[in-house]
Amino acid sequence: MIEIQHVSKQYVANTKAVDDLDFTVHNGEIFGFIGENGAGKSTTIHMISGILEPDAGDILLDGHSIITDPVEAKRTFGYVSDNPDFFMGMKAIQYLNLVADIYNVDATTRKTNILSMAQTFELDQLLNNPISSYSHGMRQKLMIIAALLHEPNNWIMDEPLVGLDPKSQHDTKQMMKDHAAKGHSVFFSTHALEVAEKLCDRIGVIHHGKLLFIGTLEQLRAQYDATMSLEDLFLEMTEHA
Amino acid sequence: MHNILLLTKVLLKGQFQGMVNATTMHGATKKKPSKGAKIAMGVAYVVLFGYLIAGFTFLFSGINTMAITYQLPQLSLMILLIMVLSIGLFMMVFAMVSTLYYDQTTSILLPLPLSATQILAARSIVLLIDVWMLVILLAIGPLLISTIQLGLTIVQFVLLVFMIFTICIIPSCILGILLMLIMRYSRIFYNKKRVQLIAFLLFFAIYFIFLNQLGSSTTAMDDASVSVTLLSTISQTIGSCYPPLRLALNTVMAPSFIDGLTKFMIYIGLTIATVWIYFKVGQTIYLKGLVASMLNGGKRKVSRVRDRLFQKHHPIYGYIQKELHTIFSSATFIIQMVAPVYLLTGIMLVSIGIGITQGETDLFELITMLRSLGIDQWIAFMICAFVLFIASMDYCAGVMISKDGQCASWMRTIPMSALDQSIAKLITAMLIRMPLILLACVVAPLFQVVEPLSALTMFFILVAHMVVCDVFGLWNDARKPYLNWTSEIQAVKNNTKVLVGMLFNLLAALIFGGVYYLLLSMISKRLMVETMMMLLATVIIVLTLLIQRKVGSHLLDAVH
Repeated sequence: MIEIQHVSKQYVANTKAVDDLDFTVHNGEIFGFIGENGAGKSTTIHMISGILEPDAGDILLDGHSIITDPVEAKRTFGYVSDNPDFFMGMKAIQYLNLVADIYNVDATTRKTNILSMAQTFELDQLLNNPISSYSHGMRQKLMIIAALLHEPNNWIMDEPLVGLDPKSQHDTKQMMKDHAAKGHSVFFSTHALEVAEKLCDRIGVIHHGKLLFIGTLEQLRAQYDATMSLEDLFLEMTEHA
Repeated sequence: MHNILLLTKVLLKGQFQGMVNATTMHGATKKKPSKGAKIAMGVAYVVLFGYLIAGFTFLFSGINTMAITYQLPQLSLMILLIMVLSIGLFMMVFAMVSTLYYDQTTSILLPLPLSATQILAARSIVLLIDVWMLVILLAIGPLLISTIQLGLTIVQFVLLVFMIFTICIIPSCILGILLMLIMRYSRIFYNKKRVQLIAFLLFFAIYFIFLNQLGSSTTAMDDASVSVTLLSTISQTIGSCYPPLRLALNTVMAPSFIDGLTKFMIYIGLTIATVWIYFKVGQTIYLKGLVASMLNGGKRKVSRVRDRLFQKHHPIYGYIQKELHTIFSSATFIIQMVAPVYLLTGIMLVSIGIGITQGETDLFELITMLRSLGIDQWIAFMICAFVLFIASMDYCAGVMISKDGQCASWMRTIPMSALDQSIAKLITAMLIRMPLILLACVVAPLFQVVEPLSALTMFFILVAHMVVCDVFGLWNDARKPYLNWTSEIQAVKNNTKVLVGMLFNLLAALIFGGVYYLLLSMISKRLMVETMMMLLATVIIVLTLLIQRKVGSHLLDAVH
């Protein structure tokens, strides 16, 4: 469970990148975070994952504060960054082992998880190759494997489907559904509204740092127009915000 | 031409903005520093650069005096040009590969409507400006002092300035042509690591061949003119290896206007011709090599993952492995961070080795002399001071965060405290230096150069120096890590923090060496001196490690 409690972040004076966000992502749900470029999605995700510190408020991951108890909070999630170009000099297996070491994953679990997920993403034959020889999509897949390696309760992803081929997109979405079905939570940001429409249990719409809407698609349609697609609803909301 | 200037401006801005931000902005808040901080920083840089300029000025003042005494005024100017040429070329060898082929702006530049010549020209100008910045810094003092002491005319001064700025152009163009040919026609060099390592090995192979040649030609020197003869031999050897250098010197020191003008025209003609060939070659093959370099190793064969690769380790052990891997997977990092220390160590070991087998190196002659005078306690001090000096060249800890670049934000997402990560980084830095310390402290007593007790003292002093320097380096890097670099060389070399780190290391070496020297001078009982030094070093180690706990917990404050 991810609890975001009155969180704000400001980079420049008089402009809040994130302004008093307050919502909860429950266990067992897939939560889609939608917004335009610069709306505050990545800032929010960076604060949840501990990259940035909020100026105000707190974020609890399975009850652990990312500010006061960062190490325990970080154990609870797996994070997929929007930039998969990490540790290019390492071999994929070295990177996965590094992540497994840091999360204290035992030898048997890491082997089972790495091999099964690598097979799903068709990387099993390439694990011994340097990350630099991987394509963007392959690196993205590797980051997803690394994020799920320690079987985290919360899965946090920044634009996870960007750069993936159709099959991998399908597999990733299926993994998200499976993860939520096991009672875990999935939090991801996306520009692809049709993905959010089909995949998410609830969505949050952020605009200029403020949360415009949070709830199910049905609640959104009830609030605006039942016949409108999510894309139209999104445009309607952000234009009149 | 307009596009070249525009591109040069953009590339330069990208290169220097990051460098300036890394040294002036507050790392954590990205806020500009206060007026007081700016003034303090300005004073620090004036002291820092003043120290360098003064050092080189003092050195050349000595060379000039000697040259005047022996009526060889051209000798000191030749040495000045050689210094500029060596520094420029040394920088070029490493920076050229990174800037021309492995800069991260390549993927942005290639789709733009720019010709190969335009990209090559802009990048070459950036390279040259980079070299000029260091050359100006190091040559300004020697240039002025030589002009005054040797009584150069205004025309000679202007010509000398011109030669200082242009002396690197011809060899750099030749190097560039070689590099472009290699990158275009040899698949083996598509791997950046390999290219840089081969360039590095080639450079040092040439360097050692030159030293060897120099050594064989200076064996029959008498004591009185030893320095002048040595310097003359260096000048003659380099002058004959690289004729444009002699031409540049003869232009400045020409006896008549016509003679000078003729030589100047030949020099200019040669330079322009080389630059023309460089761009002609570049126009034909640069882009193809550039596209190939982006493959960075190309396709690799599939290899099976073996069971032993799924072993579990302690998080700090895993983290250290990652740190070592980051450093040793990049030739730039190896060359800049590790190689200088180990090259000097190699020279030291070779010197000891030759001394043991032949007994004729200066080091062994000095040791024999000190023993015959009954003051062999100074041998340990001498070796300790020498190793402290070498160790000061190691600034690994000072770039431990910056080297991670864009990957650094990952460090904030993992369930490992900043303190643990700082410990892992510190251990990595120490692992890199420790073999040097162990070599010095094991080899010296093993071959009876020093007594075991003195070797133990040396060990304590060297470890204390290492701990102090590494904690300072880590703290300095944590304050303002330089993470937005586009080329690895910016992170570990084109960075004033590196200079600050090395100067701090030298200062710490001076203090440790100074205290040891004072105790040896004042106290006759050696056992007492050794015990006091060991105690002092232990106290410093413990105190520094306590400070490290504070430094370490703020390691990631400026990483976003």
